[in-house]
Amino acid sequence: MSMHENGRVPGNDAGEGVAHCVTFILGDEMFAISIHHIREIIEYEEITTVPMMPVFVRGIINLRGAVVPVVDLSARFGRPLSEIKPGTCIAILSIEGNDAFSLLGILLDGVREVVEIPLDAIEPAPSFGTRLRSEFIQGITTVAGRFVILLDVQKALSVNELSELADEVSRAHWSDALAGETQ
Amino acid sequence: MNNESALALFFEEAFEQSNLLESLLLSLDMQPEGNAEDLSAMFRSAHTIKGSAGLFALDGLIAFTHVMENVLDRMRNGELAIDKPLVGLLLACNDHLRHMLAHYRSEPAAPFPEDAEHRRLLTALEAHTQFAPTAVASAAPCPVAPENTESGNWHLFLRYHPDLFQHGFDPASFLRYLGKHGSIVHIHTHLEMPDRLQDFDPTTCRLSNELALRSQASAAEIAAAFEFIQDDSEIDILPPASDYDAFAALAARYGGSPETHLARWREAGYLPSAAPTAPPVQSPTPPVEVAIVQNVPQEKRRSADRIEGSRFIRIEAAKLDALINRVGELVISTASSRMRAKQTADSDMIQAVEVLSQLVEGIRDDALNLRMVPISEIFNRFPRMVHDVSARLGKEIELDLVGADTEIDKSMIEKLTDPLMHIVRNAIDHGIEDAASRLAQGKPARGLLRLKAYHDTGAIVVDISDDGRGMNKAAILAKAQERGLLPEGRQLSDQEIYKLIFLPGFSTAEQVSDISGRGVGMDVVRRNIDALRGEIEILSTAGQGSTLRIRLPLTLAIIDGFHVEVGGSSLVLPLDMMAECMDMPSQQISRETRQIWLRDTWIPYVSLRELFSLPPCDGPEYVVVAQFGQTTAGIIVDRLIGDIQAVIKPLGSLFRSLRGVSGSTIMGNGRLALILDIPQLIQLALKREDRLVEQRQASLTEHSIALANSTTRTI
Repeated sequence: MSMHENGRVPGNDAGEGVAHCVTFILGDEMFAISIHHIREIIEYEEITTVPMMPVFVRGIINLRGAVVPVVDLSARFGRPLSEIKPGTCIAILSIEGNDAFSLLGILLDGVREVVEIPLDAIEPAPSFGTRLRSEFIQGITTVAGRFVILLDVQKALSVNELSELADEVSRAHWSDALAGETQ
Repeated sequence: MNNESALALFFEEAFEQSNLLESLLLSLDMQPEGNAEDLSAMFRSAHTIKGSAGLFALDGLIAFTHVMENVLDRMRNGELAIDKPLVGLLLACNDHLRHMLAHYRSEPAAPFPEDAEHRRLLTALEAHTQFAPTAVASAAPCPVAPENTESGNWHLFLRYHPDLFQHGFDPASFLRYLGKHGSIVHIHTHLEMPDRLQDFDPTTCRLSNELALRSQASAAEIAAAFEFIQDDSEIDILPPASDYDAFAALAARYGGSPETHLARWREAGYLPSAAPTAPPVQSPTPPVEVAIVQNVPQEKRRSADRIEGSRFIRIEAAKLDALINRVGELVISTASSRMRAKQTADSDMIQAVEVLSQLVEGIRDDALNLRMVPISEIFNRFPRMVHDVSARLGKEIELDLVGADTEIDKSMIEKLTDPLMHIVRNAIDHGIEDAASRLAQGKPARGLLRLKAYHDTGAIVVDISDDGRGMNKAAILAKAQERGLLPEGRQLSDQEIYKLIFLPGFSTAEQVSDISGRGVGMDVVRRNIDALRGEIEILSTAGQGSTLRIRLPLTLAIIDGFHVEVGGSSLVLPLDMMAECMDMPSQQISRETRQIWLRDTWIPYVSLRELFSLPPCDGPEYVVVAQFGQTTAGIIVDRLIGDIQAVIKPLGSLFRSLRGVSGSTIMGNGRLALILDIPQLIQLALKREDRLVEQRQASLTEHSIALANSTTRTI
């Protein structure tokens, strides 16, 4: 699934009043991500682990010569690590950072389909009950009778926040050796 | 660097300067009021060309740029009104300058044919010049006779400074330059030999010259020949028809008995009481020569141009980077072909791929080599800068440049220049004391600043040392405390204290000077060095000086690596830091103190599993012996795989805080491996060890106190 350079599929206009989303399962819940953010979805390949990183950073993969980090969304949300199953795949997202877009992979379980969700069917995030930080949620909706959380990937996978978390873990790992170095 | 390539570099730089001058002139044309910065930059461009031309004795160029420089100097000082005609004239002069450069590039030895355009420009320029009388006064302390004397000879007495050679000057070049102003009628060269031959140092200039010059030039023009050395060397110029008293006064200032000097000068016919000297052998401006040069066929000169042009090609850096990226991909895919070929067990195939990969290795080295340039590209900027800064601060400083031909990646040159400039400026400003306090400490009045570049196990090291006051630990600590930069409740090691100066907003200068000490800088230095994957170390002895040691990786693109595995992850160690590999010894190892017996000595080791917080290995382990700088250490890994050419792929910003890992690389099977930063890893491990010892000591003390207390209570 390859996308247009700017991440938009021609003809996918918000003006039509629908959001094109990919739905997938995480644990036993269904989530959706707007396809604007998805560059491509590839089969799962072995990930090179990077030591001394937060548990949600599964490692790095080689995407046609580029080094792309892979994040475990389930672990990112403070849940157990995703299991690698036959249907597991990696979605390559393009996330806007401070000065550039960076590529980031997420592990996805059982990608369902690309669905059209009418914008007026998307409701704001509920104040409680999802066990997720509310700013990660763009909205909630129903797809084929199931409760679906539409993720705000820009917030949930903010490069800045992830880097800060990684920084904390690295500092904690070397806390004994780094004492005295101030930042 | 030989003279030819130095000359080629000069032309490259001169054209660059000329381009710069042009763009500045053009912007001045748009805004005639100009700004001070641009005006000085224009002056510097002309000055740089003149200065470098002086090194190659390109006299025509020197003379022309000298006049340009004078005009630009007056513009800079606000002595000349800037208007369109003046800018136009300078633009025309700049075009002419390029024309002259092109001429000298094809025929460095032939004088430039001074055509009508040349004369027109010079006349127009000279209308705007006016020699500053102060410059003459310093060079010619004796009363100067009216300029343009028609008869008699100038007498020049040149006592060169002993460090003349070390500063890169050749006395002969000054004499050649003088030849431009007239003809040298008589010259006496004196070589002062030491008493014992073993004291003879060929790098020390022990020469002095006395000469008679027949010239129509003005005192200022003659003095200008020695502009670069007049600060150090003693230059005395007696105008034509100076009376006996002037010579006598000079003889009195010379060492030894004045009579000997006067007798020598009388013999040479310098003294006015002697008979007039012989007429000049050569007329000052031989017209024949000019005619010959002008007759050189245009055709021939153009072909000479072409040959010169093909020796160096200026390439856009981006193209070079693209090439090196592509070579990187080639290296990766060759590794993959090699692996596949081995799987086929087809010996012809394996052989063919083996040859191919050797060729690729060669191409890789060639490609990387394209970017290597001698570090003198940076070093060459320092003599001038040190001279200027130390003059402004009133300090006397000797600059010693060592290892200027050490090669370094071009892309590093650009990023290294600013940090080095900053460090040197700091060393002059804060490091080296003024002459009075140096003498009071029994040091020579003249401070020493040394820049030294060398290769050391896969790294380029640049040391910046001074023999100044050294770092003041107490002052650094106090300042860090004041700025709230000090971590709480911890004893810092010396190295940690020194490194506080790299924190943002740190500056120890009590007074902010215009040289350094604005509180920005050292943190920028560290950021720049970090960006080059380099490290800074500070060595300092109070009262004896300090050394900043910058260690940089050889290349930013591709390294020879060694592939190992730890806990199922592939890791690459830079090969040039590896001494050897061996089985993990079952005996001859002290696990508690983490030491291995290597043939005849104990070396410390680190376990990657331990460092990465992985569970202990259940199979056999191996030791990679790493060596860098003064350190030898063992690194324990699960498996040794083999050599690998690692194309360094940077890890993204998510991994910016990762320590001990310098990047990643793609292996033959397409998977990624992490490249370890061995010095950083081992340093972290050593620090961790130190803290552990400290903690144990602390808990031991606590324990003893508790024990003592409880004992007391029992009693």
